[in-house]
Amino acid sequence: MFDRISDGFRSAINKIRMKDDEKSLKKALDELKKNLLKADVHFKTVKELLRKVEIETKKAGIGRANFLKALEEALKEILTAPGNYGFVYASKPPTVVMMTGLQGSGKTTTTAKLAYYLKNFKKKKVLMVAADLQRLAAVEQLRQLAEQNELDIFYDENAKNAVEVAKKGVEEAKNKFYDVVLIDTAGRLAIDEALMNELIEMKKEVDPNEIFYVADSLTGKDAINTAKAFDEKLDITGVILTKYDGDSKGGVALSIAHQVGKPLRFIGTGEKIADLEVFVPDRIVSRIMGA
Amino acid sequence: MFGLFKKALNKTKEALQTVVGTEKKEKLSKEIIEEALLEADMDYDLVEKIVSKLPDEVSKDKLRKEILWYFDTPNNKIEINDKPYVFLIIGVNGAGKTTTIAKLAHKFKKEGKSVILGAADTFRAAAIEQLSKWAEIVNVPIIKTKHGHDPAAVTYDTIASAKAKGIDIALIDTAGRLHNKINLQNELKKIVNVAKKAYENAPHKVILIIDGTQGSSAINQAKVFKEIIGADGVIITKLDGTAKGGSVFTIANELRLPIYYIGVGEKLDDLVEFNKEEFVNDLLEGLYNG
Ligand SMILES: Nc1nc2c(ncn2[C@@H]2O[C@H](COP(=O)(O)OP(=O)(O)OP(=O)(O)O)[C@@H](O)[C@H]2O)c(=O)[nH]1
Ligand SMILES: Nc1nc2c(ncn2[C@@H]2O[C@H](COP(=O)(O)OP(=O)(O)OP(=O)(O)O)[C@@H](O)[C@H]2O)c(=O)[nH]1
Ligand SMILES: [K+]
Ligand SMILES: [Mg+2]
Ligand SMILES: [Mg+2]
Repeated sequence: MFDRISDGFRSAINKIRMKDDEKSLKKALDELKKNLLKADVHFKTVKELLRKVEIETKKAGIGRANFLKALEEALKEILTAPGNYGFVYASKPPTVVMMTGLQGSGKTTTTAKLAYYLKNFKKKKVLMVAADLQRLAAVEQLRQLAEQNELDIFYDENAKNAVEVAKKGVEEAKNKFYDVVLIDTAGRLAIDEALMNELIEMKKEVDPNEIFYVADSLTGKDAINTAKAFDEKLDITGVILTKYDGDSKGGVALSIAHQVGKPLRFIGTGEKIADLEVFVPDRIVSRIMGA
Repeated sequence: MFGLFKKALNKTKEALQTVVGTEKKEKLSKEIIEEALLEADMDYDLVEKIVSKLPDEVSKDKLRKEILWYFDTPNNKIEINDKPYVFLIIGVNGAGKTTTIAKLAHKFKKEGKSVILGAADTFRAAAIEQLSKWAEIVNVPIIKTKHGHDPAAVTYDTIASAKAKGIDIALIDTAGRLHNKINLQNELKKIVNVAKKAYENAPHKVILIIDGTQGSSAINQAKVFKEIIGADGVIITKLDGTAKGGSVFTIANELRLPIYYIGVGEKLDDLVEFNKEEFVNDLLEGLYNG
């Protein structure tokens, strides 16, 4: 998943010996910079990472081991933003989650993937709520995903608007003692004021514990801009990157937390129900460094 | 004021204005133009080529001439010269294939042509229902099977039905697939081969749907799709949602494929025939604010 970045790290590390001088450190940093930029890491994130590595390596003494350690630490910092990691439950169930994002980014599929993960691996009672009344057959899509994967769903074909469905869904979850409610919403642009107001209204009504922004990783650096735009309006609590299986160079996953200031929580790696990975910075760092 | 491509270039215009400001201008410096075009996501090499030919102070007409010189797109007129005329619609997941088919069906119907849809995305949950609902709204027939059935068979049946009923145009929807998945690309090849069995001239046009928000990744996708099954042209969607209007130039330049239409929203009428002169004019209006 992060092969390119791992390779980039390795070739940078190779530029520096166990004990070495500033010139070699500079060479290693240049190599690192080149490879990270090529892997589509945001230039501001690259700059910050290099700054940290340089300072820490110099402080500890220039050499391969210290460079490695500084790199590992800096990477961890870059990947960490204030907020939750993995899936975190509310102290009083149900944990209410809104799934938001642009058209076609993968919200509905990811809603089902998350429900499947929480049900089968965390043994939670999960309700999905079909609150996209806009796209044709959106409710039917979630309904079929529920049926195929034995997941629970709430939908209301008579409801007049999405906010009402979301409210009723959360009510249902409370009455039936669900642990988690995942609300699927219609795709929209951050510039679409009417539709963004609908989400703001929904947020007011259901008081969610989490608002996830689901972003298509194929949009590359644009994912950062669109996430920021949603964050401004909704104060999101996390990002999910989808379609990571589409030859992603890895850079978006590395920069998004640092650039948006919200943690990356999950990564979608395929169209199947189990194609979802939990993003935990520590683990990702070991994977990138260890590879 | 802004013309045909207003909706498509709205966000791009905002991006341009962060560089040039919002007041009307007679001339712009070439440095500002360079920065603005890059901001609109026009490819670096292309920008450099254009800028290298510019004087220090550039009028709108001069810039129009230079951009058009490099904006060399193949003919994008689709001439419906066979019956049935078969379109196969392909692209990555969520790009806008199904919605674009509905828009195309609507457009052809308005022109007085008969249309049939083929629901050959048998994979994604409720893809068949989504297209069926569109068929109902646009009021055109649809050929479909059950979820999980063979998409090539649906393709065959759609074309055969169009032939038997004397329908002018068949539009075939396919499942979203990423360009780097060999098995899915092979499935597309099979669909094309089976289409030829139903009617030797089919598919007349293989159209690649490109998500306009995907920028440079879309170019890699398109290259692979083009190589594997020979896409005839593209439709770029979701331009209403992106400041990457400049990527249209890059796509045109790198792919050398006609851009037939662009998608500027989720409604049936949100499909605009692409016209490069007008597109450039509208972009320049955003740049010079007049
Ligand atoms: N390859 C791949 N495909 C994905 C992934 N996540 C979602 N998809 C596909 O992307 C397409 C769009 O997914 P949806 O879940 O319908 O997206 P959405 O955001 O709900 O779309 P709208 O409701 O129309 O806004 C579908 O074809 C999904 O199968 C992923 O991680 N990898
Ligand atoms: N803003 C905007 N949204 C669009 C446009 N075209 C399609 N969409 C939306 O994008 C989402 C995905 O569109 P679909 O037509 O389902 O895409 P698809 O390529 O068929 O998706 P899969 O079959 O899952 O691969 C839907 O929510 C559409 O309403 C467009 O031009 N502008
Ligand atoms: K997308
Ligand atoms: Mg959806
Ligand atoms: Mg579709």
